Amino acid sequence: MNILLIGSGGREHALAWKMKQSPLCTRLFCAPGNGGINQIAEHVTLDVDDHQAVVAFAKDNDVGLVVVGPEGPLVAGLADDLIAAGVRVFGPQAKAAQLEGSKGFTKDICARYNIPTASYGRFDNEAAALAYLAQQDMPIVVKADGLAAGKGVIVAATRQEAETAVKDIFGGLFGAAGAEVVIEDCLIGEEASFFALCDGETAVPLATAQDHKQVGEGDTGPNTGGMGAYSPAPVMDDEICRRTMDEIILPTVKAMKDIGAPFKGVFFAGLMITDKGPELIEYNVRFGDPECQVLMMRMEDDLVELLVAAADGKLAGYQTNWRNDVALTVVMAAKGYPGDYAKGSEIANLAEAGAGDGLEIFHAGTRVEGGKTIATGGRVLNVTALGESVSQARDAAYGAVEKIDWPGGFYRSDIGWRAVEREKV
Amino acid sequence: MSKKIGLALGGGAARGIAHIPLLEVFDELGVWPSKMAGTSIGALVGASYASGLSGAEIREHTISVLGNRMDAARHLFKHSEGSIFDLVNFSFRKPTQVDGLHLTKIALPDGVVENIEDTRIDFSVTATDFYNRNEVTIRTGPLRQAVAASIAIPGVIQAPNINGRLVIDGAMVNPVPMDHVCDDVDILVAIDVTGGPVQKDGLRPGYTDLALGVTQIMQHSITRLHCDKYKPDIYLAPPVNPFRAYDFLKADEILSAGDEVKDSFKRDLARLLEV
Repeated sequence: MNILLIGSGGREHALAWKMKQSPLCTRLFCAPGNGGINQIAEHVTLDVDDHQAVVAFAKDNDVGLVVVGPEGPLVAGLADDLIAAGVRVFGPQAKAAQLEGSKGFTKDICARYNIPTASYGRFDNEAAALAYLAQQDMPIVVKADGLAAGKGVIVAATRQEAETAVKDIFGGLFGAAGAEVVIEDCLIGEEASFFALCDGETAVPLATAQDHKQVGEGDTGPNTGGMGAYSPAPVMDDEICRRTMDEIILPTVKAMKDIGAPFKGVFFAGLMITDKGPELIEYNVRFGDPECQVLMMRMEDDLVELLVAAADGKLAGYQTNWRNDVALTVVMAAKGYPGDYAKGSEIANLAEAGAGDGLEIFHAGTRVEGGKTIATGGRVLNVTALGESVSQARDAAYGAVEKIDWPGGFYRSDIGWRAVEREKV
Repeated sequence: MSKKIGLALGGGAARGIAHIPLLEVFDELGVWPSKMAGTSIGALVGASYASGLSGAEIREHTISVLGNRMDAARHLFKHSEGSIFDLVNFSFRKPTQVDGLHLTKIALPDGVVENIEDTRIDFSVTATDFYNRNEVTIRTGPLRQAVAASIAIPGVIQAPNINGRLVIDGAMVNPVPMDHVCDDVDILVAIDVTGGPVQKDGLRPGYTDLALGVTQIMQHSITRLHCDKYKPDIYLAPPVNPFRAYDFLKADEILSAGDEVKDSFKRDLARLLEV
């Protein structure tokens, strides 16, 4: 079967790497790809926003499966147009992609289907907000609804603090941003990600992961797309995974079916594991980046077979199998990221650094020119390793990172710190 | 954040089966009322929806209970006195009293919550206090008992005692309880399945049709006053006039009457949600 992969990140490199291992994969095309993907897949120049061009390419090249990596084309309805043209696609249609595209939509689904999530209220007057507060447990999050330069969020430990925050906001402390107040339960616990494949009717659990969003050591500084990740997430034990399926994923599958938007694709559930159990923070409708990289390293199954089964509504009876090893990925980014950064610096010694079993260097923002690898983006490389423990996987990944000769890049040196601490105990 | 919707489901006995297709509209749009109120059959249908069942599931359950006459008869009268024919051939001259609580056990599908306060959508049930001659709005306590009170059509369905009060069909005081869901919402939707007398081939109405007809006329007057006062954004009256109060075995046709106005309701609601 010929496969067309849409995307250009480390996530797509990991998907391409995994799909190439499948006996079902004949030719693998990728648009637009990157310096790493284009070494294992055929680079295609396609305007992904032009859905009819994607359809035409798929038809002309006998493509049996289109795999959409990022969320943008899904929300824009690429899957809808491919399905309408009779082309098999992995990824949800636009209406189902609202799970990621609209927070309000997802909150409404959660309320209707009893899916545990932070409950919230939205108020345009002080009296109603105070009345709501009186019935809530502390601590609680009080937010000025509009843009307040990041200062409009107050985590109140006591009722008095919360009431003061409400009065301050309505009193004009944040100007126009305080015309409305959102009061949301403060979820306390550990964050983790859970992945499941769904064919519209049946959901099959994949695996779990945790990532590091912030740019600085010790999880400090501005948020990024992700500076590293590992799988599995130690906090996601069998019981928590089972509850996540029963209480979050399966009700969502039913909801999407009920509203006439059956979800075919991958659920990427951002969770907070509280003392009550898993609660949904948000849904994404595609594989995470860099979570996908660690998942693909651990997956024992034929990814192409699973994606085809999901697209065809034939997941019933499938279960997925995973290496017991831990996978950990370290993101190398261009200096300055997530702010301004320079493009065009050269990366050397990749072949030697990436040699060895259980070690892969997935490319994100790279281009290969005349045998040289050039950095072209913010997040540039995902150095990914397997190990029997988080510490071993971490040591293997950093061992490779240190061999890479890239003066224009940087990385966090503490990926997996929380899981490593847990291993010490 | 999506707009808040208040939904009032009116009384109308069998004609209230037409509520079901309109509930499917909320599922199909992926938006749900933040509060609901129901009178009589509106309380019965609303109890399932507020508990979390989808409109399609309620339709399926209704067809499974009422779609086959023999099944329906077996269901309805397994534990009650009289026969199904007493109910479908109802006449004030030969009244039958069906146990309301038992009826709710048959009529309400699995998945309906025990207590009103546990419904996923804020829900209230409207009934009438017979001796005090006033409205009772039930917001807490056993859901089935509240529904049994709300559907207690005089002379047909036996009314339960709630806290020592004889509580009967809410449609006698508030046929479309829009006043209970109009506060703190952006869109008020009222669905009226009261229906009204239809002349047949110049025939004069019989005694039963006369008695039921005058009740409908009075209920329309109450609803008209409520519409003037509470100004629902969407007031819907599915074409249910041809059906009699006890036409439960015409469930298919009554569902079709609801289906007839479903698309226009969906369009109107979608437009209001976008504004």
